[in-house]
Amino acid sequence: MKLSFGMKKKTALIIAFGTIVFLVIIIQLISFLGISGLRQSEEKLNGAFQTNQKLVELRSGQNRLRVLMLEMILSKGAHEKGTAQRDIRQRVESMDSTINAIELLLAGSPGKVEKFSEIKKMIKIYNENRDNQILLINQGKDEEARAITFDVQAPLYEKIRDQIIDLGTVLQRETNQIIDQNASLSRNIFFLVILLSLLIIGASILFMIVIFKILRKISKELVSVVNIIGTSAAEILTTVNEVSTGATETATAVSETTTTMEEIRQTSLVATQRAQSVLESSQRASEAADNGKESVQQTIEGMTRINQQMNMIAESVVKLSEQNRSIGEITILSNDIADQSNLLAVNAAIEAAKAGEQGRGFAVVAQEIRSLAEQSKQATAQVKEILSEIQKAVNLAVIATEQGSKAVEQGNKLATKSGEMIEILAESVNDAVQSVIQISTSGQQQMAGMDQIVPAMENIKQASEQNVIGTRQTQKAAQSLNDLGRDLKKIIEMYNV
Amino acid sequence: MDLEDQEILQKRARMIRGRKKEKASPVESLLAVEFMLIPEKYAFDSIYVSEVMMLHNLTTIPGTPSFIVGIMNVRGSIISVIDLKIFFNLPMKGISSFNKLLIVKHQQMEFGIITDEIVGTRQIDIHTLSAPPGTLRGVGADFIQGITPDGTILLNASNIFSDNSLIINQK
Repeated sequence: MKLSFGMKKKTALIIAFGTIVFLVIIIQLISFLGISGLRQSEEKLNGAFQTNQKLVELRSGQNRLRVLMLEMILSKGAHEKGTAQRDIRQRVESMDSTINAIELLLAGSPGKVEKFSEIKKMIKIYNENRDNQILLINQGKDEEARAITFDVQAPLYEKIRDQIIDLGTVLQRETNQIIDQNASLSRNIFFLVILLSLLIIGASILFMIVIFKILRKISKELVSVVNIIGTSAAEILTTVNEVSTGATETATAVSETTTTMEEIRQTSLVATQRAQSVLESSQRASEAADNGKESVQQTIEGMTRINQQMNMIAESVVKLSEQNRSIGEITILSNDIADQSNLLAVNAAIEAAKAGEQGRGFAVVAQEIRSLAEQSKQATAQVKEILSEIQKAVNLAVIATEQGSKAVEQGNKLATKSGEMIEILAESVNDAVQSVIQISTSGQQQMAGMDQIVPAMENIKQASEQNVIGTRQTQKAAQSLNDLGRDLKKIIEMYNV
Repeated sequence: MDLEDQEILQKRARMIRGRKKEKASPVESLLAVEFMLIPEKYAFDSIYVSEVMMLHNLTTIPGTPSFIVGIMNVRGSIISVIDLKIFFNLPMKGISSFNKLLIVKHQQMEFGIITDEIVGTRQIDIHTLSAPPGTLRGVGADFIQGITPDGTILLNASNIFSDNSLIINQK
C-alpha cells in the first residue's frame, strides 16, 4: 500500500509484475548460462573420458601387438605365423582407427596434440620396426627379429607406454580440474538462484499484500457499488413498476378517452341533428313570428273595432240612462198623482164621515179610490224599483263600458307591445337561426375533427400499448438488473477477501 | 181570475158588513186619519180634520216659535203650518214638497200639520186602545189619547187645541 503511494495502482502493479518477471528472467538466464557451462564442461569431461578410454585401448592394443609379435616370433609353424601375422594386421587397422579417433578427440587442445603426435611418430616407428621383424621372420631370420624385439622394440614400447600414461595423467588432471570447476559453478548458481528465488518470494509476498489490499479496497468499493446498483435497480424496478402502472393506467385512460370520444362523437352527432331540428324549429318560429305579427296587427284592428263598438254601447247606455231618467220623472209624476188621489180619497172619506149616513156610499167610493191610488202607488214603486235596478244596471254598464274601453286601450297597448315583442322575437329568432346555422356548421366541423381525433386516439392507444409492452420489458430488465445486483453481491460475499 | 175576483168581492162584502156592525155603537169607535211622522204612525180623529193636501207654497214667517214652520194659502184662507216633530221634540227630517199637509179645525182654530205621509182613514175601536205609559219623553201624556194594538199613536185633538202654547202663538 505504502509503496504505491503517489503512483497509480496500475503502474505499481506493472512495476511489481515487471520486477518479478525480471527476476525470473535473470534466474532463467543464470540457470541457462550455468547449465550451458556445465554442458560444455561435461562435453569436455566426456571427451577426456573418451580420450582416456581410447588411450587405454591404444595401450592395450600396443600391448596386444607386442604379445602377438612375441607369439609370432616364438611360434615354429608357418601356419601359426600366418595366423599371427593376420591378427597383427587386423590389430594395426583397429589401432589406426583408434589413433584417428584420439586425434579427432584431442583436436582443439594444442599441447596434447603435439604430445600425441610424438606418440604417433613413435608408434609409427614401432610399426615399421615390426614390419621389418615380420619380414625377417618370413625370411626365416627369427633371431634377428628377436634381437630387434628386445633391443629396439622393447625400449620404444616402454617409451610409448610412458608417453601414453603421461598423456592420460594430464587428461586425468584436466578432468579433475573441470569437475572442481563444475562443482564450484553449480554451487554458485545454486546460491544465486536461491537468493533470487528468495527475492522473488519476497517481492511476491509484497506484491500479494499490495494486491490483497487493492483487491480488498476494490471489493469494498465493488460491494458498495453493487449495493448502489442493487438499490438503484430496486428503485428502477419500483419506478418502472410505477411507470408500468402509469402506462397501464394511461392505456386504460386512453381506452376510456377513446370510449368517451366515441360518446362525444355520438353526442356531437346528436347535437348536430338537434341543431338541424332547432334550425327547422327556428325557421318555423320565424314563420310563427311573422304570423304573430299579422295576428297582432289584426288584433289591433279588432281592438279598434271593439273600441268603436264600445263607444257605441256607451252612447246607447247614456241614451238609455237619459230615457230611464225620463221614465223616472214620469213615475214621480205618477206617484204624485197617486199621492194626490190618495189625499183625495182621504178627503172624500173624511167628507163622507162628516156626511154621516148619506156619505156612506161615498165613503165606499173613496175607499175604492184610495185602494186604486194605493195600487197605483205600489205600481209606481215597482216601476221605480225596476227603474232603479235599470239605473244600477246602466251604471254598471257604464262602468263596464268604461272598463271595457280602458281594457281595449290597454289591450291595444299590449297588442302594440306584443307586436314590438314579436318583432324583437322575430329578430331574435333570425339571430338564433344564424347561430343555429353556425352551430350546425361547427357541429359538422366538430364531427370532422372528431373523426380525425378518433384515429389519433387509436394511435395514442397503440403507442400506449407499446409503451406498456416496453415498460414491461424495462421492468423485466430492471428485474434482471436487480437479480444481477443480488447475484453480484452474493458472488462478492463468496469471494469476500 | 173570476174566482179571485169573487174572493175579493166577498172580502169587501164582509168588510162592509163589519162596518155596519161598528156603526151600531158609534161611541165605541171613531174614524181616524192616520199619518206618518217617520218612524211612528200617528192618528187624528177625523172629526177635527177638514182636509188633507199636498204641501206647497209654504211661506216662513219670522219671529214665530220654531214649531211654526210657516203659513200657507189654502183656497183663499191663510193658515199657519206647524211641525209636530218640533213640537213633540222628535228627530227632524227636513221638509220637502213630498210632505203632506193635514189641516185640522176646531171651532175657530184652524192650522196645518206637516206629515211625512198620509196613510189613510181607519176605524179605531176605543176599547182596544191602551193608555200611554206613565212617563213620556218630550210629549206630555196630555197629547196622547191612546195607542192602538198595532202601535198607532192616537193624538188627543182637544188637548192639543186647548194647549196654551199653541193658543198664545196663535195670537
